[in-house]
Amino acid sequence: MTLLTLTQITRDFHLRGGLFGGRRVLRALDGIDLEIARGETLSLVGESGCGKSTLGRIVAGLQSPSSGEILINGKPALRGKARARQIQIVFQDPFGSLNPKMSVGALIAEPATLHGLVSRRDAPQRVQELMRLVGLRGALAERFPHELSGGQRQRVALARALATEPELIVCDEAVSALDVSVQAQIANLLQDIQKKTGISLLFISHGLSLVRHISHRVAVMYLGRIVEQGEAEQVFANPLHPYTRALISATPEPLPGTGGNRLELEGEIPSPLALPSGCTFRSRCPHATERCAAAQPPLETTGHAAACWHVDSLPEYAPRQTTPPERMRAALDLYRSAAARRTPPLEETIN
Amino acid sequence: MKQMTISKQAGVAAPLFSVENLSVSFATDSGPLLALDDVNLSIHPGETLAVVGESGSGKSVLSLAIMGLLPPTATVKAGHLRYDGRDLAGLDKTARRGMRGKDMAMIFQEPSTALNPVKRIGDQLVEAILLHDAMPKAKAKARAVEALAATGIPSPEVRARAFPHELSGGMRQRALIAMALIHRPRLLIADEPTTALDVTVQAQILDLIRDLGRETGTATIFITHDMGVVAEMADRVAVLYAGRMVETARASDLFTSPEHPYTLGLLGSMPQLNQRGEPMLPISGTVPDLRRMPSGCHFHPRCPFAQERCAEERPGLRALDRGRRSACHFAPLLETLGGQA
Ligand SMILES: Nc1ncnc2c1ncn2[C@@H]1O[C@H](COP(=O)(O)OP(=O)(O)OP(=O)(O)O)[C@@H](O)[C@H]1O
Ligand SMILES: Nc1ncnc2c1ncn2[C@@H]1O[C@H](COP(=O)(O)OP(=O)(O)OP(=O)(O)O)[C@@H](O)[C@H]1O
Ligand code: SF4
Ligand code: SF4
Ligand SMILES: [Mg+2]
Ligand SMILES: [Mg+2]
Repeated sequence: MTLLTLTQITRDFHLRGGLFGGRRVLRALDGIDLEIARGETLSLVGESGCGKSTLGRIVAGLQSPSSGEILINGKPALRGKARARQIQIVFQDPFGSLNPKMSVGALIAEPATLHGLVSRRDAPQRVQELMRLVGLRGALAERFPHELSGGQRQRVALARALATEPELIVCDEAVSALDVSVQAQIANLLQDIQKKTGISLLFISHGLSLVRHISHRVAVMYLGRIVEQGEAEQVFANPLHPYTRALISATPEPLPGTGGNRLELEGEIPSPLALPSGCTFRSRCPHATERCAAAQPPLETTGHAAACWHVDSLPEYAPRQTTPPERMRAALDLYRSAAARRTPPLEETIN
Repeated sequence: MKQMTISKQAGVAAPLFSVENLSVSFATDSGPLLALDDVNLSIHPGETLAVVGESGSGKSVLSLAIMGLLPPTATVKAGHLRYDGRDLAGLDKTARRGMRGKDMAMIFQEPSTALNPVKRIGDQLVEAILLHDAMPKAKAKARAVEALAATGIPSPEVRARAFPHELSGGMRQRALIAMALIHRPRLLIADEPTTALDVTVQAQILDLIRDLGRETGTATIFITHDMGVVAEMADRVAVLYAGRMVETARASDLFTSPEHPYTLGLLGSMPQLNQRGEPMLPISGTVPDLRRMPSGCHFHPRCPFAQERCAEERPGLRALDRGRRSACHFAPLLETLGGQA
């Protein structure tokens, strides 16, 4: 069942102009159509500045679109507190969003009491429940944000987001600043919570491998538009758009002998104030033709689709070698089964 | 091909730089903190050594120690740094400063702090040039533009006149690389030079560092916590955990047959090495507080293979075959522990 429907979402920023005081318009989002189902993880990927956070903030109701429609459960999205209860957002730097003077317990209790979901008397009980859900030891309730590790702080932010029992959480680079080991812990946790609660996730990240691992569907963005979307498995196994192929090819793989033979993307993302005509990717696309400059390629919104005029005539995708060597796999299996045998399972966070 | 050249170098030449039994501690409010504990490593001309480990494992402290840039609160408790066979301990501050830029240079972890925000990029490069080479200003300017061009910055003459904030993250990082390489240093330290960048820009920067290193024969110490980047860049790898080296091997060996549980944990945290649809295999818990280091093997509270012995007895860095070393009682892991699975 569809939880969230975005139709033709556009967002402009009006910038105070340069030397002559003129106003310039930056189109951060340009006609976004997107659906998220209940219990689904949809990921947004793309380079810095392509509009991921802007879209995330619009979904969470922290910013309004310039035009377009947002439906939640088929009805026009509510605003303010009512929206916040349905949709929560977790950011990259939880330090910024956690009041340093409040204890972990008070921080986690705050959203639930603010929304009138628990009485003051029942709050401690609810805090303990939420802490258990995000894998934090109950004793940490007494501590303050600066006494926590980055991963623990991100768990607190997640517990706060879960406190209102939202239907969707937007995770805007929520794990990007953490060590890979902690990223994996939090990603496991998100999947676990999703299984338990049926919550939907809008996962914003530039880490393609993690996205591939945890998403049901993926939307690839370039300069304010979605250029490819589909089931994660299909998009990664057979990327259609030249940009998606370049992104995948640029991601380093932890396997021997993977250096070199990359699909290099020339240049950097163009300024959003001076967009190329037609397909905005054409300034970096090795397959661009005259047609690409003439008009913007459309995107089908169902199934696995890409916005590219030449999608049917591109060279066949040559997937990269991704099987680990035998001995590495055997060692990882050994590690995995040893970890599973440990009681209490090492899964749980210590500290 | 890559491997052949390395084994030749490793076999014949003396190392360009070596770190011997290095221990560094910090005085903190809550007691001394041992950030590096008896670290040994060496690097040959033209070689790329990756240093990998989680946040707080001591990677940046190691690079600052090599550069002679440790803060005053740090004490080198033991050890030697040897450059071209020469012990650097005898050198005073001025002599160390004289080495920076020409003999060794560093690309810092925080690009924003490494560039002067109120000076044009070109002027900063000119300053760096004139620090070691006296020449007319016009000539230095031309060289600055050349250096920017070598990093693939488009229209380098124009960019030379830009202030740091007028450049994208990728271009700023290129400017820093240009600055680090301006005197063709024999040793380059790159401290997480791509962590803040998009993958496409990261790919360009990695290629750039690799190509420039190849052209100039520069030896590179590449610091990262991304095992994917290690696989792309490194000839050899040193894995640091809580200030100690726990494994070192040739990159091709490390990715074929990792021999320390911590290395396995780092690999198991990479989504690519996990079955899709199943939970990943992160390392549980976090890096210990270095002021309250666990007994025995420092990794034991997080290690799935830990046994009683591990909490009591500190494993040394033992030599295995093919020049690999692992600080685990049970290496080689598959042979020693494989029977239990
Ligand atoms: N408040 C604002 N005022 C002006 N421009 C803005 C504003 N917020 C975002 N933008 C611009 O909109 C575009 C999209 O920004 P956004 O932050 O959504 O990108 P992103 O994909 O999240 O990038 P990153 O990966 O760097 O977080 C960028 O060009 C950005 O400069
Ligand atoms: N100036 C300092 N004073 C006190 N402790 C310090 C200082 N610099 C570093 N440390 C400590 O030394 C240890 C190693 O720090 P270091 O910066 O080398 O880690 P790192 O491996 O570079 O981590 P990251 O991946 O986060 O950059 C940490 O515990 C850190 O807190
Ligand atoms: S439409 Fe043209 S420029 Fe755009 S991605 Fe396709 S081939 Fe490249
Ligand atoms: S010595 Fe013991 S605790 Fe340390 S890594 Fe080896 S098995 Fe694990
Ligand atoms: Mg963003
Ligand atoms: Mg560091």
